[in-house]
Amino acid sequence: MARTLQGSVPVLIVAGLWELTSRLALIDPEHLPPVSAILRAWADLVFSGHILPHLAATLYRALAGLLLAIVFGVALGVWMARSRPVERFVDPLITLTYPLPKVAIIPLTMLWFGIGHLAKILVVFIGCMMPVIIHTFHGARGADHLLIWSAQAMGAGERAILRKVILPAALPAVLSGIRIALAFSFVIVIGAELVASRAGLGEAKTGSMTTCSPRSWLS
Amino acid sequence: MPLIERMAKIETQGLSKTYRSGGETTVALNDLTISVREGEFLTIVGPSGCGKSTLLYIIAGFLKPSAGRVLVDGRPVEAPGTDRGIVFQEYALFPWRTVLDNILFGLEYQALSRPERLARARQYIEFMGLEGFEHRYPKELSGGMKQRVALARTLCYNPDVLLLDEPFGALDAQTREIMQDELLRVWRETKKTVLMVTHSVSEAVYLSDRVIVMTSRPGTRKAEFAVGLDRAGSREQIILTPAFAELQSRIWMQVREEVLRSRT
Repeated sequence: MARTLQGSVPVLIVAGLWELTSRLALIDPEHLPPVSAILRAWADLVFSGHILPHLAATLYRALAGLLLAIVFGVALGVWMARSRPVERFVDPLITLTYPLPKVAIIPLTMLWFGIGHLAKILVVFIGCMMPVIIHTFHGARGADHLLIWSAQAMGAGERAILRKVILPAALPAVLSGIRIALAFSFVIVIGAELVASRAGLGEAKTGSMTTCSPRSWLS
Repeated sequence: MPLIERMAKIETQGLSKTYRSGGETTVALNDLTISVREGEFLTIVGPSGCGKSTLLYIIAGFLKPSAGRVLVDGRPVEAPGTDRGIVFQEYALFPWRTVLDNILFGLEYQALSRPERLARARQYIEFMGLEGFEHRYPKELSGGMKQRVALARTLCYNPDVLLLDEPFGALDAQTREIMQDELLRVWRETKKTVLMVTHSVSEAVYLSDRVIVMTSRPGTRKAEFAVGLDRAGSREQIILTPAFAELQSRIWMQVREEVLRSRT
C-alpha cells in the first residue's frame, strides 16, 4: 500500500506539470489537451462502450501471440542450451533480428494474412519469442552440470533431465523472459494496429488521429 | 583368465584424458592403470589439479577418456549407470526438491511401486539419521546434513560402487570427523566397493584399505600403500597408534613432493 502511494507520486507530478503546460497554453491545448480533459474523454470512451470491442481485439491478439511465443520460445531456448549445433544455427539469427523493430515486418504479414487477427498475432509471436528464447537459453545453459550428472548417474534419460532438472533450474529466468515478453506483446500489437487494422486500440488511435481528436488519441 | 583379474570390480587400463581449449592442450590424466577389488575401500590422494576428480568422472561415465578404457565388472563403461553411485563435494542436491523428494529422485527410475519407493526412501532417511528433516529444503540444512542427504540419495538405489569426489572437503573439521565415521559405518554395513578421492592424507589412511598417491599434472600413479590397520578400536585408538602415524607420514612425504613440484 505504502509502495503504491510512493509509486504514484512521480506520476502525479508529471501529470500536474502536463496539466499546467496545457492550461497556461504554453503548448496550444488543441495539440496537447490537459490531462483532466483526456481522463474525461477516456471515461466517455469506456462508458459509451465504443472502446470495448477494440480492447477485446487487442487483448486477444496480444495474449494469443504471447502464449504461442512462450510455448515455442521455451522449447527452442532449452533445445539451444542442450545442443551446440542448434545454438550455432539459431544464435546468429536472433542476434541479427532482435534489435529490429518488429512493427517493420507488419507490411509483410499483412501481405500474407491480410489485416485481420492472424497478421498481428504472427508479429506479436515473433517479437515476444525473442526474449523468451534468450532468457530460457541462458537459464537452461546455467543449470548446474553437477545436477545433470547426478540425474544421469541415478538413471534419468535425456527427457527426464529436461523435465526434472533443466526446466526447474531455468524457471526463474524463463519467468523474467515472459515478463519482458508481456510488455513487448502490447507494444507490438498496438504498433501493428496503428499501421493497419479494422479493430483494436491502435486502430481506434489512428481513427481519432484522422478525425483530429488528440483527446481520445492520447486517452 | 587369472582369478585375481576376475575379482577386480573396477579396472582402468591406460587411461588418459586431454583437454583442448583454444590452442592449449592440458593433459589431465596420463596412462593411469588402477584396479579396485570387490568390497574394497580405495582412496586416491594427490595435489589439487592432478586429475583425480577427472578419473572419477570418467569411471562414472560423465566424461570420455582420450585413451584407454574403464571396466566395471569386466564390462567397458560407455555411459553413466545405476551400478555406480557418485557423491560430490558440492552435494549436488536439487534445490527445488525437499530432502524426501531428493532421495526419491533416484528411485524414480527403478522398477518399484510408489509405496515401495516411499518405504525405501524412509529406510535410508533413518539409516543416515535424517528423521525430522524429510520436508526441509537443501538450503535449510547444514553442510553435514546435506552430505547425509546426498549419501542417502545415492545409497537408496543400491549401486555396487560408490564414487566419492572429495565428499567432506566442504565441511568443517568436526563435522568432517563425524561424517568419516558415518562413512565407515555405511561401508561396513553395505559392503560396497568404494573409490574416494581426497587431498587429506589422514582421511585417506583412516578410511581406506589401500591408498594410491597420484603425481601432479599430468596425473599418473606415483605410489601405493596397503593400510592394513587394526580397526577394532575407536577413532582415537586408531589414529594414536604408531602404525597410523608412520603410514600417514610416509604417504604425506610422497604427496608433499608432488605438491612442491606442481608449484614450481
